[in-house]
Parts: sequence; structure tokens; C-alpha cells
Amino acid sequence: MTDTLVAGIGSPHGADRLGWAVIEALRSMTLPASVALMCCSLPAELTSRLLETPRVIVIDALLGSGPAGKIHHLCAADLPQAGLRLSSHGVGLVDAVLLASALGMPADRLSVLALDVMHPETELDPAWIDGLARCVCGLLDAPH
Amino acid sequence: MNTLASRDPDRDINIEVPLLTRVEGEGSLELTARNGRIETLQLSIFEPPRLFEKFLEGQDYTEVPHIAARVCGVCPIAYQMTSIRAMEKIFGVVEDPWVHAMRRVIYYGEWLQSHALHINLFAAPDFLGFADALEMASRFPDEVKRGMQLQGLGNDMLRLLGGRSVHPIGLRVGGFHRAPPKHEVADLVDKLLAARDMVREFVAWAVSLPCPVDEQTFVSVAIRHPREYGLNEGRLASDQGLDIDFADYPRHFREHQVAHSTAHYSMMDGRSYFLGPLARMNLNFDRLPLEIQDFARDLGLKFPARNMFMNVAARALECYLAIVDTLNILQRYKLPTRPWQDFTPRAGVGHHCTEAPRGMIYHRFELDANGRVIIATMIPPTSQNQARLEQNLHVAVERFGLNHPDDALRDLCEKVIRNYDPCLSCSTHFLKLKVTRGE
Repeated sequence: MTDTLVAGIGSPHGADRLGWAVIEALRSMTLPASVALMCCSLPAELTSRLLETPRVIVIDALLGSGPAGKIHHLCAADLPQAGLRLSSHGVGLVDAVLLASALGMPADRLSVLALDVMHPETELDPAWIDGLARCVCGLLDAPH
Repeated sequence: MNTLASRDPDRDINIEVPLLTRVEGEGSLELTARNGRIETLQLSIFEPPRLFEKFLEGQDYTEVPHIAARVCGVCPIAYQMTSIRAMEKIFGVVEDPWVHAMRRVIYYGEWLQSHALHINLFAAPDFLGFADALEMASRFPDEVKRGMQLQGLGNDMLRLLGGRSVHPIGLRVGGFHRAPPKHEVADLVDKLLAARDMVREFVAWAVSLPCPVDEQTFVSVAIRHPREYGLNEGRLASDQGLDIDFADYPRHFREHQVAHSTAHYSMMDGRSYFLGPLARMNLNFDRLPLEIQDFARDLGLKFPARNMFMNVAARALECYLAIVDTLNILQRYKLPTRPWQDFTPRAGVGHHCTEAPRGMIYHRFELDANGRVIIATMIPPTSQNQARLEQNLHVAVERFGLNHPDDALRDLCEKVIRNYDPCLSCSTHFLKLKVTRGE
């Protein structure tokens, strides 16, 4: 039974692969059996997961003003104000979360770890991936 | 509501929708009318040209499926499969029955996720009077969740054979890189069985939406197959007598540029034509499994249909088909000796068509003796539909009446455009260096 889903949003190339890279790092770690890991291309796919999973941790790249590598820990209410990278086809993470909220998702279900990569072409620093993986483990250890 | 209040039909009307919403890509609408007559009614696509046909020149045939997939995040299978089959024809590959069946499964996955997304989040708010899906979700939460479940099931079908739902990596010339193990197939079969009632409820709901009636005269064009619902093999057919091999596409279909759009317009023997779910259903209703034909009749549906908004019902029936036919295939699943066929690259020209969610897509590839691309031509459905869409807009607005307020005219035009589920990004498939703009 999955009680926590950790979803990395991204694609195979550039700084956008950050979410997937963190999921790959987490796969090599020992996590509780109740934690599911997911590489996600379409944030729209998250809406149904947000409705059915007690706790969801999302990892995504953020195009902010820097400094590069800064991690932002956001909740659902922060998302409309955050400069999270836009996704394709008009359904980005913000839209997916807003739709889940409209469908009854409890506000405290979602945690978003967004790392500022500043530019889509930025080369990922392995330390960023390690840092995000540690943040995920910290959230998993903390009571929810 | 002020939308029913009458206005002077002879007034000057200038309606501009600078950015169409709930469609993929960037386009705008311009409607001007003077003295009771429409002067301009244009869908302007200003999405920049994508240059994919040029990118492909010089590429090895093995790279083509991966590059072609990037044309569209919603329908990558259409681009991959059509290019693969065109190149297989050059190499003399005869499609293996296992490969053919699995290609239908992954293509059905693309139809299901795209159609469910469109009906649920793009079209239904139009017909139910909501600004968007978010607003609709608060009133129809169960319906929205059901649509999302079907969309998710489509993505599961894509992942089974493609490895991932966006820009899948499982397809190759000759077949697939990997045959899914039986336990993965069994898991998906369980989900499909569980969704069978759900999709019937989804179809009934989609058919019950208060769609406008917009009876029009048009030519339906789609793939017709002797036994199957036209999808990835067959011949090109129309309800006006067209019945040709895919290789004869260039003899009948011509593209031309217009000043106001980066997308091409396409004509068949000098006339506009219509592609997509309703065109397919008009030509292939008799190829649906009997349980779907009976269900459609029970819902009062009758094909061929001339009401353009029956596109929604046709799209919903294709969701049902996707689940039923995939079950038929996967419940008899056997592991192949190998999921691809051998072949030797050689020079030549190959043509193929398949049915993308939005309608028929045509590819022509010319390869050299090493299997490198000399010329690639990829004609997507949205550009083929553009001339018909503008005719549809003209007729719909004239029938609706210019005496309606601007807001009502704008709403009607947006509904007509969204009804085609246009993909404005993939329609911009060509670039000419010199563009002559109209006066």
C-alpha cells in the first residue's frame, strides 16, 4: 500500500531532467516499502495521484532569479505564485494541482521541492541531485 | 445573460481572439463584418514553423522515429508510426501480425489519452457553460475524475509498449525494441476490464452534453480497412468515392500557403475535406465491434452524420473502441520469438498514412542506399483540416446570425474551432523563406 508518492517531473534532456535524476538517485537508496517513486513527463498525470495518495512529494526544476541550486520548499498554496517551469499543452504542475484541489485534494497533502536552475540549458550539478534526495528523505522521516 | 439580446446585424463587427485557449499551440481568430456580410473570418496560426522536415534530412533511418515523435507531445505515436511504416515500405518489410496488433494497441493508447483529455477538459466546459475545466470540476467532480482515469489508462497503454507516455521510445523500424512480459500485459488487461463499464458511462455522458446542432456539407476522408476500424493500415477513402493507395496521396492532395497563417491549407482534388473522429466514424461505423455499434444505436446515434458537433460523440465512441479492441488483442497475448523483423536498408521512396487522434496524417520519405533521409514530407491533420474549419466557421456564423452580440459570436467561433481538437503546433510543419503577405 503506497502512502507516499515521490514524483520527479521532467524530460530526458537539459536542466529539465532534474526531477528524473533525483528519482534515479532515490532508486538506489533504501526507502520504506510504502514509498512509490515515479518519473513523470506530464504534470496532468499527477492530478489523479494527488487524489488517491495520502502524501505526494513533487520534485521539479524552477526557472527563477537564482542563485542556481537554491531549493524552494513549496506547498499547494504557494504554487500559483511560484515561477515553476511551464509544461506542455497548457496543463502544467500548477494546473494539475489546482484541478486536484477543486476535486477535493486536502491542502496539506502536497509538498513541492523546486530547485532553481535559472536557465533550461544549465548543467546539473550532482550536488543538487544529492541535496534534493536528502530533502526527500528528510520529509519522509518527518511525521506527516 | 445578454447573449440572447438581438443586435443590428448590419453593424460593424470586429472580433479578435488574440490567443485561442484549450487548444494545443498558438493561434488567433479574426472576424470582421460590414453591412451584414462577413468580410474576414480567419483562423490565424502564428506558431513558428517547426522545421522538422529539414531536421530529418541527412538523418539515419534509426533516428527518424525519435525525431518525428518530437513534433507533438500529445500524438507522438502518429508521427513515429507513420514514418516507420513509410520507411518499412522502402525496405520491403511486410508487417508481422504480432507487430501489427501491438501497433494498434499503442495507437489506441494515444487515441484514448488524447480523446479523453479533449472531451473532459476542453470540450465539455464549452457545452456545459463553464469558463474552463477547473470551474467545471467543482460542479461535476465525478465526471472529471472519470475522464482523468480514462486518460491515465491511455497513458498506461502507451507505457506498456512505448516505455513512457510522452515521446515513447519503444518503437523502431521493423517492430518494437521490447515485447512486454505477460505479467505486465495481465496487469493492463485487469485495468481495461475494470474500465469497460466506465467508458460506456463516459460515452453516454459525452453524447448527452448539450452540443449545438451545426449541420454542414463536407467530404469525410479517412483510412478504410477491409476488416478493421481504419487506424494504421488500409486505403484512403472518402464518402465521395475516393479509394486510393497511400502512395497516390500526392496525386489528389495539394497544399498551399496563405498569408495569414504559418500552417498550410490542403485541398483534395481542389476541394476542402474533413478529417478526424467524425470523418472516421462516417466511413467506418460498420467496422466497429458489434457491441459498440449496438450501444451507439441505443444512444440514438446515427452515422454518417452531418452535424459537426457529432465529432464529440465520435471521439467518445473511439474511446470505447480503444478499450474493447485492446482487450481483444491483449487477452490473446503471446510472447513473440522476437518483437521486430530483420531487413536491409535500401534506397527508395515510401508513403504511408495513419489516423492520428485529430485525423489522417501522411508521410513520404525518400532514403538513400544507406538508409539516410534525402527528403521527408509530413502532413499533419490540423493543416489538412484548416480550409474546412474556416468554411465551417463561415457557415456556422451565417446560420447563427450576425444579429447576435459579439460575445456570443466569439463563443460560437471558439466552440467550432475546439470541436476539431486542433493541434496548432504540429500544423506548422513547413517553412518557405519568402512569404508574401496579403494586402
